[in-house]
Amino acid sequence: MQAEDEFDELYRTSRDRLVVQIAAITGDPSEARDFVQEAFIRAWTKWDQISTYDDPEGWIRRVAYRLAVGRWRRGRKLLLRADVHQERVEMPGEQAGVIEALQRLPSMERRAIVLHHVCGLSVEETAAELSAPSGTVKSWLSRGRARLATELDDTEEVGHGKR
Amino acid sequence: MGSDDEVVVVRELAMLENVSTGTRPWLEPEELRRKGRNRRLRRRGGVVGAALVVVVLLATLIPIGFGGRGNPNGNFHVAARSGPAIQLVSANGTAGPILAGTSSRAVARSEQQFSLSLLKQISAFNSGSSNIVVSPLSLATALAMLELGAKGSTETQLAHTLGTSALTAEQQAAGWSALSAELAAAGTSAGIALQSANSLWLQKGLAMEPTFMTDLSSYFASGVWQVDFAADPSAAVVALNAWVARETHGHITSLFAPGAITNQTALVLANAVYFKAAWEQPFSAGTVDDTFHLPGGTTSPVPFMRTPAGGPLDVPVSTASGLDVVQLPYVGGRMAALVIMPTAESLSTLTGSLTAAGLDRIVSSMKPTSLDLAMPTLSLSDTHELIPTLKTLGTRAAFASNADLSGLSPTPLVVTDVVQKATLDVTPWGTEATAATGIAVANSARPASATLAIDHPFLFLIRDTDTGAILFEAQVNSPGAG
Repeated sequence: MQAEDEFDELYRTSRDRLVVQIAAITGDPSEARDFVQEAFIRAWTKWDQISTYDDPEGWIRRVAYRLAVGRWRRGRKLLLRADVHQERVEMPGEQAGVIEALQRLPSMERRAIVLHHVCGLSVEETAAELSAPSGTVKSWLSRGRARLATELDDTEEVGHGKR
Repeated sequence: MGSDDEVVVVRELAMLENVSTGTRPWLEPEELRRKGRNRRLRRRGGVVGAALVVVVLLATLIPIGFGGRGNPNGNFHVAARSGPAIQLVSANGTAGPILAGTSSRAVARSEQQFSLSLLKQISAFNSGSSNIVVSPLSLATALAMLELGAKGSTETQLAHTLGTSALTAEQQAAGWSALSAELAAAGTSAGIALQSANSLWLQKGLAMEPTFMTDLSSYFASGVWQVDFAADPSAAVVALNAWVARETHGHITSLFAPGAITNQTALVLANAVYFKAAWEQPFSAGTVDDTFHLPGGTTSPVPFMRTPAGGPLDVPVSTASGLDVVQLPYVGGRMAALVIMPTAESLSTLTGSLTAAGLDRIVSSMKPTSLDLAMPTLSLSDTHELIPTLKTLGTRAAFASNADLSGLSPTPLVVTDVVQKATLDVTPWGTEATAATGIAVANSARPASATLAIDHPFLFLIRDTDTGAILFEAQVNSPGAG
């Protein structure tokens, strides 16, 4: 029972933030939820091993992230098709705005920003994840933050204009 | 960027960590664990199955002292056994020699025209109003193998039917080989499954022309199996069907109709094609029943797949000249489904008039478009007895008592059956299509066997957008009819 309890606890406490992290990369919260659930299913198939890792949540996030990035190339039929719903996952307006702003960044800058600032990977870990030199990742992070600041400013101005 | 801006951005990003993701219920953890447990059990079953297959293969690959006894083609060695069938030459899986100046392009162009002519004739035989699924690539490959052993008018008629008359026999064989290799390589690089396999099933004791056997192996990478049609045709068919089932991943388990293979059968040439690819741009996973307008003016509710809520497809589209056309790429972008729905005329009229040049015009008229698309899912299967169709396409001598297949064997032979089975499944995930073609050849000293005779209907062609080769084509009049 201990393994089940550990797994269930991790699922309940981390799933929301994992969805946000994946949605920040893909821009689609509904699909992000399916990728996260699929990653948890895969985790349970070898929980004996994964539960011994220092960071099981990190393993699940990486699986969900890879499913999201290469979703169709990796075979969508493996995903939880029966559980996919058409309605979008709702998020508070402010967070939805940040995720939308992220989608307007170049792909590699967006991935670097999310992995480093949202998922908490170090620059070196982010570089390894993106198969890029650390210097390049630092450059993406710097440019990405600047662009994101501009995007968020624009979003606010548009929002004010509507009011 | 000022440091204040940076602090704000980092704070905004950090706030994403703890946001709640709405009210839609999550799967319960017990449900997740149940799915994981089931998957683990299935995987273990698969591993056991794979181990058994390996054991069986190892057992059958043990060299047997064959020594050419009773076999006029005595240079062959036993490569494997499958029930009563003995594999003399394993499929080498490599492309044949590419002649200087021989391009797959010329053959691909011929295959495209052959594809459209084939669909036109099959549609005419089927009164134009039914669903049709056929793989012109599979049939063309099988006919090209037969042509290697044909001479005289038998050979020229086959070349005419395939549209390759302008090429020498060697150029044709090399061209088909190059096209097959190019398509396989394109599939591999795109990360999709596109497999074509060839085989020759020989009557035990039948003498074959060495040149044919060499060319068949080098150009078509064909495996050669020895069976005993004369003593036990049913057992030979079982072995042949097992090969077909294996090469089509279990989608086609029986190729020839009962009685099509007899104790007079001398050999069978077979091709199997398997295609499986995901859409490059996904549809929503679920389907919604909607109305499809049938040819007779009635309607039928069928499941439709739709572009996802996240956004429309970005695909080539044309809606001019009375045709709604959309090209849906598979992953990698080279292979694509071309969907053509006539809006001003019937589908049978379009099928009857479409040419390679016309298809070129349709393809070149498409422009990248942001498109919300709804189209039916498909699950179709079809069987074709093709001798009548091939006769209308110009191949007659091969089926007559004076057929000249002396390049195959010194024994007088005649083609007694040409059959194809094909399946097509189109889902929100992508497409899976299979086909198997068999050409049965018998001793001509005996009489030959009697030959057996998008909200509107649309064509569905699976094409290589580079060479234009058509792998599969479907005429869909009633998607719900299966």
